[in-house]
Amino acid sequence: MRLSATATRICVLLVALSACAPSVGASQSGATVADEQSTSQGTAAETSTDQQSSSVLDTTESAAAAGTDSAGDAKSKGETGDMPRVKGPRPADLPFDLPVAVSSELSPLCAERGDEITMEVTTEPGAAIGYQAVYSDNGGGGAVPMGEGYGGNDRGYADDDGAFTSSWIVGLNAPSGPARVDLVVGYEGEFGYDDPHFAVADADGNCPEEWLAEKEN
Amino acid sequence: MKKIMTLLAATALVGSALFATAGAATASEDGSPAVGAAIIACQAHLPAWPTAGSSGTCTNTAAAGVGLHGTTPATITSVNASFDYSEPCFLGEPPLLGNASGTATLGSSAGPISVSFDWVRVGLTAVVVTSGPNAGGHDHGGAGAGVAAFAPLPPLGTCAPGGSIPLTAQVAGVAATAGL
Repeated sequence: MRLSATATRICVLLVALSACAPSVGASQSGATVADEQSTSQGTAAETSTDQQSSSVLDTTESAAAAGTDSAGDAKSKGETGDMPRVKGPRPADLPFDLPVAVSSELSPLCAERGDEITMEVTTEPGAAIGYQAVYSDNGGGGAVPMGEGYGGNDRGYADDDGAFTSSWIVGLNAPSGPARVDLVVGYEGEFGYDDPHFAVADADGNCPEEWLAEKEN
Repeated sequence: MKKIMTLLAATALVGSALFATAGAATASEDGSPAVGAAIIACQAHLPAWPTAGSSGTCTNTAAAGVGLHGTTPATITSVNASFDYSEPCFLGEPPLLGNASGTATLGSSAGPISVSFDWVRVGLTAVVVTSGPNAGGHDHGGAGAGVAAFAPLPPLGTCAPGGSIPLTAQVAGVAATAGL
């Protein structure tokens, strides 16, 4: 009887281990993919613009959205790291030189769902312009399936003064938190890029001020 | 040129189904400036999407454009393109940005015109820049830019491991090459 009971306990333990093993493996695999991608993106961003490097380390929400264990890891690292972190979308990673001058302003910077955001762009006269808003969960403003349908994905041309104005409605399904616009400009064979920041207010109407101030700096 | 750009912009507004991966017309003399504009539609074939790197093609659907081939007006009638592209993304998310570089060959009444282009996609829209129109074996100065729409046809791949599948997309836009 004693041997039988011991064998039973061993079997239960083995069954438990075998049941756990696949999920552990899957979790690690997912985390590895996410970590590698984040690292790759971060490395590219660190060699790019200062705007991009400012949010290089923020992978927490993205990892969480991916359902990986790295979300917790990234969060704990962020809480204990030396650099202050601001949650937000991953920085863009463009492989081209971006010499075309472009600046932009958004209004309002802190938007409620359902608000209209207006973007004013200043660049070269006649420049081609495309943009997409990217929200705190890394979901795009474009229509599904290329985006999440949160609002903010359009194109056009700058006028003779180099001005371009566009606006969009922040979707009722948009997540609160930091967001930005990927603004790409084409002019005489070259690109330009800007990433104005904005935020979607939380339930209390608050926006992450440091994220908005980050762009101003 | 301003008139051409205005025409292009107006045409783009009127014809939402218009497209261009790249557009240009050229002059016939070596190094002479190129001036032109085109509205182009093609169907892109990407053997894997999303992916960190692959090569694709875009086959003509429709094209219309004008330009100067030397002093001779040239009418653009078709477009075909080949390119390398990258559509990297993160697990559980759609790719927000994509990029491509390649060559578009424009069929014209004055003969084929080759245009190098770079492409950046943001969501369902893209910005294209062009350079180096080549006609009759001669390179010409000139660089341009345009916007395009990118409409993927289902089914779409995902960023999950093994989730990349071939993608067909309609590309339509308008671009102009400025005389420099």
